Amino acid sequence: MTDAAIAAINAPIVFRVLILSAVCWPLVLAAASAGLHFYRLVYGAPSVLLWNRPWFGALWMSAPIPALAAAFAGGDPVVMDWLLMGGIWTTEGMRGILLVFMAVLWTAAGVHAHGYMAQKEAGKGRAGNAAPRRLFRFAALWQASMAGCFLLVVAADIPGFYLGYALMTFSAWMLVIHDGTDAARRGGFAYIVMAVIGEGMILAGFLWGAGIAETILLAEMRDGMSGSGFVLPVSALLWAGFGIKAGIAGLHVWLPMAHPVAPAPASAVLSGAMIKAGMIGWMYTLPIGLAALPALGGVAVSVGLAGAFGAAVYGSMQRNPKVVLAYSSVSQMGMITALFGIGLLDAGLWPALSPVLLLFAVHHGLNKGALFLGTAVTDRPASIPAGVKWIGLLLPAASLAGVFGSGLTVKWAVKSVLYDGGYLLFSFLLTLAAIGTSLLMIRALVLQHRDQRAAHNKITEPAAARVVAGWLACVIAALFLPWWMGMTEPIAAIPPIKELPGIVWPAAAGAAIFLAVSRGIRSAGVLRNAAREEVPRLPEGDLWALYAGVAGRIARAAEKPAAYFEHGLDRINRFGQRASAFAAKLLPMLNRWEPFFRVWAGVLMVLAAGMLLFVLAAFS
Amino acid sequence: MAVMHSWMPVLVLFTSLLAAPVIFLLSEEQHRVRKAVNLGAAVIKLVLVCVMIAGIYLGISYEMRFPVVKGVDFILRADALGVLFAGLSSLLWLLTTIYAIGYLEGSPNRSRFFGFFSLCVTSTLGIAYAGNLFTFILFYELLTLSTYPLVVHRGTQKALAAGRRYLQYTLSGGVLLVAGAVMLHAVAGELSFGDWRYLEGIAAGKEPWLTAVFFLLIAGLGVKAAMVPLHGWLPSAMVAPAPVSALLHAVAVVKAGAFGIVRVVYDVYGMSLSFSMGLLDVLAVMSCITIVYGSARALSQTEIKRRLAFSTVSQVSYIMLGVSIFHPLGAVAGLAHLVHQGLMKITLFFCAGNYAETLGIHFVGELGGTGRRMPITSIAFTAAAFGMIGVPPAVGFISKWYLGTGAAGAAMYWVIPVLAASSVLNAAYFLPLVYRIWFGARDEEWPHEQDIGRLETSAALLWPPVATAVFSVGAGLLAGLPFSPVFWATRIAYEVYLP
Repeated sequence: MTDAAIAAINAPIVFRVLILSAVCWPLVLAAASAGLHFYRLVYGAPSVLLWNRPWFGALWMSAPIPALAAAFAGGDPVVMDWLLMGGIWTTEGMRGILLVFMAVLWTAAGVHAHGYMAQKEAGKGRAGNAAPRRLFRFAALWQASMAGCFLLVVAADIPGFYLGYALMTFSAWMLVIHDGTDAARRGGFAYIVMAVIGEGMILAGFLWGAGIAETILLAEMRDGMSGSGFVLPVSALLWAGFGIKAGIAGLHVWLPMAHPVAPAPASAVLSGAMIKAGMIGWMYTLPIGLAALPALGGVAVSVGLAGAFGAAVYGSMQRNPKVVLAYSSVSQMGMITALFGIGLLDAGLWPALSPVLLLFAVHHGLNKGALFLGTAVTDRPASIPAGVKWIGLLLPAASLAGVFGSGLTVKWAVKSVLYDGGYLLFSFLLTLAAIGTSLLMIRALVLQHRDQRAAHNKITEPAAARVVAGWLACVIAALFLPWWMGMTEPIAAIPPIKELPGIVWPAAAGAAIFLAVSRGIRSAGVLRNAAREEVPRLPEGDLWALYAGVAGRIARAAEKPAAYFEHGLDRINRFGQRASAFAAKLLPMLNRWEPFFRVWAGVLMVLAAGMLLFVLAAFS
Repeated sequence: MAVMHSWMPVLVLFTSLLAAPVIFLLSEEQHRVRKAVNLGAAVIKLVLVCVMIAGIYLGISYEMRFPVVKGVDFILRADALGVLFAGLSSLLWLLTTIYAIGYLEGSPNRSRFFGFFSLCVTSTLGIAYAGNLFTFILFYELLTLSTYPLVVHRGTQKALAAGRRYLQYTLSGGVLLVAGAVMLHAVAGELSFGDWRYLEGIAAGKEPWLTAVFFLLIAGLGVKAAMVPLHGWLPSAMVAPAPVSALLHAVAVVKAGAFGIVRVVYDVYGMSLSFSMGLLDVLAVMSCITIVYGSARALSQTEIKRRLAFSTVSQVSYIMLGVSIFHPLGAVAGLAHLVHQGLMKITLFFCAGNYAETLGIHFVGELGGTGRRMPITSIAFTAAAFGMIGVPPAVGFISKWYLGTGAAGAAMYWVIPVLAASSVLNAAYFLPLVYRIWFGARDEEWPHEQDIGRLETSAALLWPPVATAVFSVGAGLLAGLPFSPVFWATRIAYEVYLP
């Protein structure tokens, strides 16, 4: 703490201001938006017109700018003793890279959201002040969850990190249920239930770990707990708690229910930025590279692979492009989880693995963000040349499938690290999982194509220019990712030509399988004969129904002992009442004795005095 | 100056003790005078307590002592722990008075209400400044008697039944407490708070007696602190008007029980004796049972105030849990939570009162659309509810943090899952309220809407919860600043552990 405190004195004032405003500026805007929302409630003044004013748009889009500036400015950690139990914010090391990534994604999604929300809320034709009210509520929660995202990246102290994480989680809950449809409410319910369970596990892990290490700093907690006997339970709690956010198989059920129902730009930041917060949690808290945790590593590898494959199979059978994309997120995070598992098994490999994982996360975040933003372009009639549209849709999809841009880089980097570590079978399994990714990508694009054709038949306006601009900005940011990420020097941006076939073949295989299966279905006539609705639909959120059933059964089972206990307490209470009733009955009896005492009082007193004298005489 | 110092605690007590008869003698119509006396006394008291807090910070000692009979002294003394409780009570009393004035506007029997209200606070401050068990019990019983008229204020069948139940529980608790104190006097002679070293010295060979006394005292105090299974009076007492609930749950009654337990452990038995006799473990297990039980029961309550009452059962036991963790951080948690719980819970009760008073809403299911109708109240409620769950930056998180890290430091690892489970349960019973407030639909009229005040409700009802909500978040966000509850609790913890 003292070293850091000295550093704080040296931290340049400009950087202090920048890093503070990285978190506070979105919060100020959130407060202002909330103010407009409530002002609207009471006085009904601002309208959708205000939302579309250039100055409001500029303010709205300025929210992530201080974060971007702080990430590039760089400086020593900033210490704030007054904040919580002492806050330390920094952009050193991977925090700077993550902050750039978060800020870029939020900027692109923000531009998109500004147009998307105006179009959507105004288009719904809601009565009077409903549209602006909902717009400014969305704005407040959007900015608040953005602030949370930035805070959890820069905070080096546990309370600050947890504050950012919670701010992001709970604000995003409201973003999920923003639309207010039944599906949104269901998705929001699944989201919040799992999020709260996750928060509980994270809290337990933090309290335990920080208590053992006697610190409030994330880095010191990692060091301190890695040497203690409780490293496994603490790590397991943190791994599972953050794993809920990261969508690890089994705990992922909320993800395909919640991500698709949010407004498109919110889905983009949910799938692009917020699930990365789970992974960031792992990176900041788990003692990977400090201690080998074979048990947890083994679980992580198996769960990760199960997610990578299972989500690909299940997701490619979905009919809503956003659900397919959400399952693709589960699948991709499965690969990341499995790679983390390798890091847990083999501490020696971590120094090489961690930059690759960072790259993987940023790559997935931006490309998945672009894909989700793209769904808002395809569910309305086309407004841009088909060529541009298809390039914008295909580039991130191809990148995620591993045949283009950052996808190639990531694939190649993962492969080389695993090859160096001798994990050949595992590497092969990941390659197989990539087939699933390409399957999902093709499926999503086909569904989006179908949606847009259907949209042409409806009377809706095409997507606003801001929507297209935000989407294309994200596509471009993802495209140049390996070049602008400063940490790619140890990783070759483009693999050698002779390695290309080995990286690209899974995508080709995926395409082939997709073609074969869809041909097969068509020729079997399943879809031709049955109306679409009659083919059984696989629910998004797969295991959710099972969990809900089990939870309901447990709750019903717990009712009985609870009632029994309550009954016992009641009986004690009734006993008390009966005792006092009995006492009340004794009183009249005393009343009957009263006249006796009154008449014989003198005699009784003389007798008592005599006895007293006798006793005194006897004992003296 | 020294004379002044010894009279300060008495002066603090007298501000409200003198206000009480004045208010009793006022007629119903003299509401201006009553308001002035009420608020004047509350402000003077708060200022005096603040002066004492500053004085104790500077090392001044405040004590007034005289013998009642030989061997039994009446002691009023302000120490760091005492002014922590006194500071909380006098601050919240001021806010509750403002709130009560607004809440009872135009209702009958206000002189009676505010008279007993003043007596109630007098006894609370007496409890805070009591320097030995004798003085403590004196004020503790006075508190019981002066709150009863407030609980039954409405005079309905339900209120009278709740009042009867309240008396049954608290008077029986009082009997246990007196029995414990008398036994302790027989075993150890006259002890004032802080004489634990003397008790430690003579403890050898008397452990069975001391253990019995300990549990008598804890059981007596546990009634007011609503420890399971002695909590039955609290949920039924929620029929009382909202300001009384605030008084019961946050300012005075429940706190008096918890504060008494803190005194018994820290100042009568002392940490090391309680620990070596194994008393702390039992207390920790009892608190954890209460924490989980209260939360679990809160889940199924459909009435807002009843749900809040079970939440109090759960949350107050954090104080006892913190006390029973043999680690300085545990002490910080318990002591800071004494203040933290008060700030958050009073906000929730104020807000519940606002919903009831302005819109006629009493049940969880009726909350839909309140966020739109009463946004400021709803924001305050949301902030306090998230604080209760333990989400930073509100104070609930700070308490949980110190509890958990203290438990880990004391190698009581089993406490951590209890805390996590309690957080999840808190979320499970608070988030549905928050969800309904902001996202629930409202198609029909409010059950009983009153058009009061220029904003969403009258100013006297609106600003107290806003103030307490700001305190609940601010005291957590700025926990590192001097004179935050954590700062003060740390100071006391040092006195307890490093005498």
